[in-house]
Amino acid sequence: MPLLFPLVLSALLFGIGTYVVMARRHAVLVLMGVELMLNAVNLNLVAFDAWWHDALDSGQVLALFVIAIAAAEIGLGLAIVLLVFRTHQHINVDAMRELADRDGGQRADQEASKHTDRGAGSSPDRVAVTPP
Amino acid sequence: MTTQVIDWWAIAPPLCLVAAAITALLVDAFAPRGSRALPCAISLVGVLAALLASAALSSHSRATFCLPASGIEQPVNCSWVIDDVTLAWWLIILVSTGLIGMLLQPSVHRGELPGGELYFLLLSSATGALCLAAARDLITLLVALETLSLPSFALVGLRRRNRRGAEAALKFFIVSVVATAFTLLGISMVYGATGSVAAGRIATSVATGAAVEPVIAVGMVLTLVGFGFKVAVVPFQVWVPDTYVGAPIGVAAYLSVVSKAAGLAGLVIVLVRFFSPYVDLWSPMVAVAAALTMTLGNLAALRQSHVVRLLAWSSVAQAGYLLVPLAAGGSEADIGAMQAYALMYAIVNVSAFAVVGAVSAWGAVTVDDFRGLVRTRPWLGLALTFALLCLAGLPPGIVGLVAKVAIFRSAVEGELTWLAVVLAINVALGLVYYLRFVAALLTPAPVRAAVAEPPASGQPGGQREPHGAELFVVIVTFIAAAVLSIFPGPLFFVLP
Repeated sequence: MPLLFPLVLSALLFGIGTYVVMARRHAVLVLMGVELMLNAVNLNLVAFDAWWHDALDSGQVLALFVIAIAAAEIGLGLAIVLLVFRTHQHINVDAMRELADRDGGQRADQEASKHTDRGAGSSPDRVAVTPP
Repeated sequence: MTTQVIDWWAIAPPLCLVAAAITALLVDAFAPRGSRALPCAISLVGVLAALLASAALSSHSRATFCLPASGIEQPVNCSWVIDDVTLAWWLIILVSTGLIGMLLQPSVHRGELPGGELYFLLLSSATGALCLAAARDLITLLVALETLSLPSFALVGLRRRNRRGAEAALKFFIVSVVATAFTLLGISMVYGATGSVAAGRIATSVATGAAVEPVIAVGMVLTLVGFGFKVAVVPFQVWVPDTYVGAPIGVAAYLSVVSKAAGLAGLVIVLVRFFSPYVDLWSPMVAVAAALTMTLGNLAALRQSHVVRLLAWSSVAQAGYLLVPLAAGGSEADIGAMQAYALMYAIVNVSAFAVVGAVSAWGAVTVDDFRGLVRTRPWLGLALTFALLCLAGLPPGIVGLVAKVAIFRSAVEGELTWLAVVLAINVALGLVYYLRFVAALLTPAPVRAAVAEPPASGQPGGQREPHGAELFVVIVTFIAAAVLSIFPGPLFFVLP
């Protein structure tokens, strides 16, 4: 099989992944986009490994590492998404502007920090059952 | 089938940290309640052991995990190399990790952060930083970069039920994993074009022109993305202010010092060890990135009144200064100047974050809240003043001035006169906000100050005496910066 086929497929996958990351606002879909990008890289690595007939199989070894890293990233990512859902009751990436830079921001920042303290004190049980 | 001989001494420092990390986690899980200082103590022992182990390595350079030579065109190549440059990075990383570990202890003491998890994550991340500075192949680099990053996401979001912490962690996480995905794409391209992941073999294949040039150039640029993200180079700086503000202050200090130093080490390794034949291609790129980073960082810092946000943008500007020696070509003298600057920056930045952390625990958020700190809390106020003057490069903060002169000289010697001019303008620009902050600290009459007129100590947000560990960090960093200002010689121990 020519090297071109897997490379084109991998470029497509990486492009779709990048698009999903940029266009979607749902945090879980963003994670899926990242996963697509990582798997596109895996395809690249394995294809190059086969093409070079690499005696050390560096490409395959790296692909294994990438799979492990992707799993760790997704595990941690879902934990963070869960944390955000508990504190914000939604996981819309674009709606998170509490920390954003504000003009003449000192009052606004203090307001925000007071608001944070209230938010932190609210009951976690009530939060967990609220639909998004 | 041959077995590989591993030089255990060469990997002892990261192993010390790993052992301490696991011990801290287990001890915290099984120790009786009330022993909140144990994880911190264990991790400090680990950091000290790692420092001693790396001091024992300093006599000559070592290498392990080597590929045997095959033929003339493929010489011996080692994945793990410890030389003077590596050891200097290790010193910076270990000392700052130890200090930041102490800085975080007060929050653990107050029960805001879980001790075992905190120190486990901190030391795991620092292990990644150490591995990054010693790595000489793309796989080790990548795994080290991820070991550095993944625990730091968790560190940012570690405060329970904190809206801002969660938001900061999510922003940091998403930008970081996308940057890593681009780095991986770059690595796969470099591997595809050269057929190897080892530094020496890639450099040989690039130098002989055996590799496909455009592919490898694009691969190189993409590989830099992940490291540029760690250093907060423009255009990868967007996460910095939000994450620093949302994270616990000690973690913000960690991101601005250890994570940045490791990212710089990674950039130096990738550019100098892998792609030195392409110096004409990457040197102008790094120069433009450095100029943009310092200018944007300083301009954005000018209009900040939130103290942590101010320090965040100042750390972006400092990242720009740190890149200048690399733009000048990354010779040994350049790397020495960069490391001298990084050491200075690590000490004074930890000092600044320590004071800000101690003061903001009683509700000070903006520069106005810090007004008159030198009068009310002379030690804290003077230490913060001195740290800011060092960051600005003004006497009596001579150490900052000396470090700035070093990078300035490497820009001039690298024939980057325009970058030297941009650097000078930016240093002047930085004076504006550093001095405004210093002026606020020195102002005699507090206008409206949480610091000067604390609410009664029983109320929430009331004034709290700084924890002993915080004071210790403040005093140690202050003395270190003062001593280096009088005798700047040791700063340049890495210079040939």
